[in-house]
Amino acid sequence: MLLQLKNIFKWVNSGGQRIFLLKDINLEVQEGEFISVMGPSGSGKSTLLNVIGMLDGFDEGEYTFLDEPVHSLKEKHRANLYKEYIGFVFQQYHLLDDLTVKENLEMPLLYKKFKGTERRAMVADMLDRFNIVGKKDLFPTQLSGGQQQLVGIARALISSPKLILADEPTGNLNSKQGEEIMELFKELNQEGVTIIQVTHSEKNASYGSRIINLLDGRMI
Amino acid sequence: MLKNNLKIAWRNFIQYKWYSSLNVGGLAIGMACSILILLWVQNESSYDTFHKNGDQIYRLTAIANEDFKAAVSPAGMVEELPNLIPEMVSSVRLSLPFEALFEADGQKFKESSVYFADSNFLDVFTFPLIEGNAGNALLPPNGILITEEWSRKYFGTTNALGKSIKVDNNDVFTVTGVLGTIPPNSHLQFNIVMPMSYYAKTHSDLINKVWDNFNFYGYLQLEENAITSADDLSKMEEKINELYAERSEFDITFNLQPLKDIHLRSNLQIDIPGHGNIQYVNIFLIVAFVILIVACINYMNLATARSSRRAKEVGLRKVIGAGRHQLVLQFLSESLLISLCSLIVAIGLVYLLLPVFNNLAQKELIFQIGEPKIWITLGAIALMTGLVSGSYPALFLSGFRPVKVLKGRLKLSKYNLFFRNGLVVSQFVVSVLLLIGTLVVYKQLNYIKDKNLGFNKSNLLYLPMEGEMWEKIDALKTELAQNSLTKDFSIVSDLPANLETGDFDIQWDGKDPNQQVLFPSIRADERFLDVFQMTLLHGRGFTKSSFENNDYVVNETAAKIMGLDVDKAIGKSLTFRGNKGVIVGVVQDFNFKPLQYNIEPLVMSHNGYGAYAVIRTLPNSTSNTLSVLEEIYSSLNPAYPLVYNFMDASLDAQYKGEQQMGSIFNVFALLAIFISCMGLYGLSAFMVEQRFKEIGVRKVLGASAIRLVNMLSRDFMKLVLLAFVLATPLAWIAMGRWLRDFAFHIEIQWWMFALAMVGSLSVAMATVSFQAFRAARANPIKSLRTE
Repeated sequence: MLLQLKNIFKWVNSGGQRIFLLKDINLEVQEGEFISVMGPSGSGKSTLLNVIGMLDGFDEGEYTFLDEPVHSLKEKHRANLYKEYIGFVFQQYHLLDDLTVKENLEMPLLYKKFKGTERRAMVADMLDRFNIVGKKDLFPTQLSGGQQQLVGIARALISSPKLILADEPTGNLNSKQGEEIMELFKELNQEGVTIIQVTHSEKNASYGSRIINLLDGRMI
Repeated sequence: MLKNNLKIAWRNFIQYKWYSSLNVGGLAIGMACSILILLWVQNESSYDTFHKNGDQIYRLTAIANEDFKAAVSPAGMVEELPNLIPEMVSSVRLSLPFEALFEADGQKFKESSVYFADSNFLDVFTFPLIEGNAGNALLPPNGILITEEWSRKYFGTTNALGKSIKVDNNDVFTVTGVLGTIPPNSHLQFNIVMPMSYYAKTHSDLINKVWDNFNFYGYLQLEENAITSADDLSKMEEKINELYAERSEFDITFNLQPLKDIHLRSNLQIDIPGHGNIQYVNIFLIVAFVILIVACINYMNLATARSSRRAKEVGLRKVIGAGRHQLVLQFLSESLLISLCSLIVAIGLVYLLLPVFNNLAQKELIFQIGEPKIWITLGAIALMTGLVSGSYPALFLSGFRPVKVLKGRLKLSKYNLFFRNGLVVSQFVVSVLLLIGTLVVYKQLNYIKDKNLGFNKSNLLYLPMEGEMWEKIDALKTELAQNSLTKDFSIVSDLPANLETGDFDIQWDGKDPNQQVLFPSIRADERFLDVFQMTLLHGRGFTKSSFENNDYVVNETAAKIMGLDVDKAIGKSLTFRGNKGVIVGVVQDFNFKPLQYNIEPLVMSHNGYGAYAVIRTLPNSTSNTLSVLEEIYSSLNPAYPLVYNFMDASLDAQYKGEQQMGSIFNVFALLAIFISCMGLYGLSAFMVEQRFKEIGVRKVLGASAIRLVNMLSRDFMKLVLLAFVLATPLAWIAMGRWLRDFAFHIEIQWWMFALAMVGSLSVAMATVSFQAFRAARANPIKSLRTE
């Protein structure tokens, strides 16, 4: 088992009222799964993803990741955990505009203190695998949306995470680009990477092995 | 990692050129100021450090009372002390500096700052000889020491040993040594030194080895470890005072002043001119530091204002795996890069501005980039600036929570705004402080210039008596009296500028025998009061027979000290220097010392002879008067060129130190305001950017440009006002303290504060509204479309 959420609640207080963002979420994810999270806007999809990615906290419940009790870990420890095992892919790609493709890919490795030669080998490997060797010295603004997302995924993958969290990865792409990205996710999943994606599209959701539906912070 | 950080820092630097140049500009100006000030401070505190025995040399100074501390001591005492106190190795006496006429190789010229010195002068002080023998150069009474420059100038060579120099058209001296250049950081500055043994032929103090006349500077060299603590020093002083008490009836306390303290920590009268002031050194050190801080604040402000732009990057890096310390390092390397660039620009600025600064500070500072000490200092400045200015942005930016910033625009917290406003306020506190300081200094200097001294200082010129003039004073008087341009003249012993006389030897009826009051004195002729246009309160001035009658004229203060009413003093008997006479007149108090000093009691006695002839010229006839004087002078004293000075110019020259400080202060106040405004400019630009949409909406709804400018500027104006409120009491205290050094000073007035407030407000307003106007005039469609 990769991770388990038990009775997770998350809320905000607004005007004396408690508004629930997540309500009693129970979820178990096995290694190798490909899960799609669906639901209308404001149903808590992204919040759930952020909680799983440990970017956001929660107010009640237990979260176990690889047998570590996330809810009782210190901030620093938690950060180490997600750095090690989780890769993020965003709808807006979130590449650093000041860095070239190659440097964007290299960045996570820098923070993990890989040696220069290792880093270069890993970056070259990734460029190769995603067929973007020719673009390695371009800046993100010089790429199309699909290409940027490709770089985004490559960056998420470069430190070989166990889990990829993708928040509407194809939301800003046209259908053809979107399809390519989804195919890529499928391939990755077959290689053993666990993927959890948030999506609005039934079609994209069908790439996954399981679908979770959310409504007003509740799993249905 | 570091390489990567630097690369990113560099790209950021290039990409936001405008922002970077604001940053670099501000920091570079701040650094350049600090470097210049530090150079000055370094020079000021390096005085007399080049003497090999510097730590063992002390100057003997005399304290008569709280108001009268003098740098001089008795000739006999200084000579005998080493025989009486075993820890004393030797002593050197120097005469007061004097002016003389020299003739070498047929050329004649005046030389001021000439000293007589004891023969061991070169043993005690480290002034290397390039020609001659240090051991006996000052032994023969007809030997003379000259400096390298002087030798080159008048003999065309430094090999001047054995050449003759005629002094004051009289005795001929032989060059026995040529000194290397006197370091500019020596409190003793001279071109010529003459042997004390020559002076001893005529000077009664030296002949009689007196202990009760104070006419020489005495330097004592102690054994190497004789003084290791303040306690040792006071014990030694006690010993000296005991010895003195045995020998003399005067109640004088002596102090030992360390050689290295003479330049900065001396506030003695009758001292060698050209002293620095430790207070100014400290003030400038603080100013240097503060200006650098103001520049750092600029950086912090701009960096945090720009934080919404960088928030996304921070969030993303965190998600990807950056630890907080890694981000802190990244931002610090950015600020270090900026500070390094600034340092390079600052070094350029220093090279460019050093001549101007030297001119301002009357110094010959050099900036030697090659010296390791300079390198270390510069490196430290850059490092400090980088760390200080980078610390807040680094900690602030690295603290963002990734989820919040990735989701959208970052809303800055109240705390952040508060902090940034605090920074702006502190910048302007500094600016307002310096501005008020500048105003007060300026007013005080003007006050000094225009103060009614109790006599009319304009249109007065004076000639010192020289050469044959002494014998021909009567002839001079006749000549002067015959010409209508010069007939308004007086012969005096001393000028009422920086009077150096002082006597205890005075008696009057009813004087408390234990009372010891120091009375400065002037000897003058019967025209003195008229020529100086002083006000006689009671009685009369001197008459032709005043000398024989021992008539005295005293000032108001003297009458008060004698316990007499001004109108009842006339006719009272007074014994001065053993001459019993009566008081014939009381003159209104006038300043005969610089305005730092209070008016002391003054006794004036009659004498037809004196060291100066003072002439009141008619308005607009100065050049005619001078040509008449030239004629008279050259016929009476052909060997000497006519030397004259204007009273008002000489009086002003006494405040050179204050004037220099004033102008340096001025410049740095302006720079501090300039740097602060650079920051304000950048800050307002970011504010406008953040409120771009709001401005658009308001404009569409009908707000006028003026209204918008008002809205955007108001917040900043509040900050400047707050800064003003905070700076006011500080300025009040600080400037009050400075003014207290002057016995005569202006009062700090409300309009100075008002002026500083209006000044800083309008400069800040101009800076902010420039940005605001730009935003207010932009087409609102643009700002609304971007969302």
